[in-house]
Amino acid sequence: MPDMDGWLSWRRRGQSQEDDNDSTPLPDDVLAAVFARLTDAADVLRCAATCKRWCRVVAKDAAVHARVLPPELARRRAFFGVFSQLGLPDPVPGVADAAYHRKRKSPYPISLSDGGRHDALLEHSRPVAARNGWVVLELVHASPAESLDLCVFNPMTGEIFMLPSLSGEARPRCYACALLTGDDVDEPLPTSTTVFFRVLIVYNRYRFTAFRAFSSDTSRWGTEVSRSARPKIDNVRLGRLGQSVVLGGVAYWPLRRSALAVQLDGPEPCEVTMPPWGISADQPQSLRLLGVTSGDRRQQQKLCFVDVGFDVDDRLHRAGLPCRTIFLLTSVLSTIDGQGTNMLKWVMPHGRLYIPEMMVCSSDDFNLRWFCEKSGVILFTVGQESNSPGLYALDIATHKVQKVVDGTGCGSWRNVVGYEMDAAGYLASVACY
Amino acid sequence: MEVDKGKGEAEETRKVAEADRDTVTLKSSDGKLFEVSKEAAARLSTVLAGMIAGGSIDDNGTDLKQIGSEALENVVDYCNKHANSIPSAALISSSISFNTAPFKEPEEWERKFVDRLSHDALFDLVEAANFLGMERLLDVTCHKISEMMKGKSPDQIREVFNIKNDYTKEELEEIRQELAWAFYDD
Repeated sequence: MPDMDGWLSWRRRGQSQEDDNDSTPLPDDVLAAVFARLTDAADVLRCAATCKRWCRVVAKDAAVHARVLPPELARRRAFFGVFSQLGLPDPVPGVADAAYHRKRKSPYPISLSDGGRHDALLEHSRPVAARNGWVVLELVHASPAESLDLCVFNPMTGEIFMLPSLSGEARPRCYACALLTGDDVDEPLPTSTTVFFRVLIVYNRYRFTAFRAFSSDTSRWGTEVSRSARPKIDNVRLGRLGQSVVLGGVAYWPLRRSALAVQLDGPEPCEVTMPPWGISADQPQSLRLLGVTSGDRRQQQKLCFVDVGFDVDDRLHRAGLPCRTIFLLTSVLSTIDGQGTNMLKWVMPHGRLYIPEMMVCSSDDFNLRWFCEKSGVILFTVGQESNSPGLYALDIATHKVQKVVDGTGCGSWRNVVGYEMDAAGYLASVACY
Repeated sequence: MEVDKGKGEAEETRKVAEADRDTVTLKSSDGKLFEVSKEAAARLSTVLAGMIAGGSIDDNGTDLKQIGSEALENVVDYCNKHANSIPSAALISSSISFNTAPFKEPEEWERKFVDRLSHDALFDLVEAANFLGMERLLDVTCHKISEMMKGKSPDQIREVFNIKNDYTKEELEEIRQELAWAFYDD
C-alpha cells in the first residue's frame, strides 16, 4: 500500500488550526466525497480557489481528482523541476536539493519527505531517474555500501515505494536506471491497480552487461537478463549513461554511436536492435542527450538525439572573453522504407538551433542535463566561465530560453534530474497555496 | 440459584422479543423519537446494522446525540421511502470506498427527496448520512451538493456555501493566473 501521508498532508496538519474559519458546516470527509463526484477538473479547481480549507481537501485527494483532468491538459501543463545533489563529492551522503519552477519569480524547494517515516533516508539520497511525476532515488549509505537500495517517490504527494535491496552478488556496482510508469501504458490498467511502475537497471557483470527489472505487479525484481548478443558496455560509459528516455515501452540511453534500447513493458527486459551508428561519437556525454520529438499523440513521437556545437568568435577569443556561441543539432530516428523491412536510421532534419545571447569560454562550461519528455524542454547548465552562469530551460517548440536558477555553482551540480509532474502532482501543487 | 436462572431466562425472552420487533426507535440530539423499519435501517446504514447485530439498540430510543431532529426525520423518511420503493439492481452494490467506487445516479424519487430540502437541511442530512454510514444516502446527498458547485465561479460557490474567503489579494491573483483555464470570466 502506498504511504499517503505526504508532505502536503503534513503541511495541512501544520496549518489546520488557524485557517479553519469558513462557516460552511460540511466536514472535510464529506467535502472530499462531494468533490470526488465532480466530473470536471475545472469545477474541482474553482472549489479549491474558494478558501484554504477547501483547497486542502482538494490537495489531499489530488490523485482522485487527477482522473478528471483532461490528459492533453495535464501534458501541456506539465511543469518541470530539478532535483540535484549540490556539488557534493560522492559517496559522502548529501542533502538532496530539490526545486521546481513555474511562473514564479524563483524556484522553491520541495522537501524530500514522505511525512516522517523515511525522511532521514530520503535526505541522504541521490536521484537516479525521474519520469511522469515520480523520482527514483538511491538511498546513500553512510558506510561503504553493502547493497543497492532504490525507492520510487512522488515528491508532490509523498507516496513512496521501497524496492527490495539488491545485496551481495546481486548488487550492481555502477548502473543506469530507467523508469516506466502508468502514464506510459496505452491500454487502461485494471481498476484494482493503484499504482504501476517498472524500474530497469543496466549494469555490468564480469563478462557481460546485464538487465534487471522491478515490477510493481509482483513487487519484486525479475531475473537477470544478460546482454549476450552484444559486447559488454565499458564500465566508465555505463556509469555515465545518464538519463533514459522511454518511448513505446522501450527505454533508450545514448551510447557512443547509437542508442541502447531495452524493451521494458514485457515480462522481462529485452534488448531492441538499433542502427549500429549514426550519431557523432566524439562528443563527451555532457554534450549529448536523447529526447523525443514533439507530437500530439504518443504514437507520433520519435526518438531524437541532441548534441551541442560551438561557434568561436576569434575577436572575443583573443580578448580572453567568453567567445563560444552554442547551438544544438538534432538527429531523429526515422524509418526508412526499403527492401520490405523497416530499417531505422538516424536522420538530421533540422538545422542548427542557436541559443541566443549566451557565450561560454570552453565546452566544459556547457552541460546538457535533462530532456523533459512531456513538455519538450531541455535543461542545461552553464558554468562560471560564461557570461551568464545558471540553470536554463529551452523549449524546443518555441526556442524560448528561460533561466531557472541563477548561480555560478550550477555547472558543478551532480545527479541532476528533471522533474515533470503527473496530473496528481499538478493538482496537488496548484491546490496548495 | 433459582432466582438467577429465572432472571437469565427473562433477559433471554426480552432479547427475543426485541429481535422480533420489526422497527427500531431512534432518538435525536434534542430528544425526539423516531420509528424506522429495522430491515431498512440495517440494510441502509452500516452503523445501525452494527448496533442491531450487537444488541445495542435501546427500546426506549437509541441515542444519536450527533443528529438533530430535523436531519433524523429526513433520515427516517428516506429509509421508509426506500423500503417502499421498488428495489433496483443499482442499489445492490457492495462498494465500500465512496471515493473510488463509480457513483450511481440517484433515482427520480431520491432526486425529488433532496431537491425539496433547504441548504442547511441538506448539509445536516449529509452529515447524518456520513455519521450513520449510509452509503446510498451519502451518494444521493453528495451528488446534490456537487450539482450546486458545477459551473460556478469561486465567488458564486462562496455565496451558495457561505464561505469566507481567507485568501489574500496576492494569493488570489496567483491562483487566477495559474488556473486561468479553469476560471470563467466573472
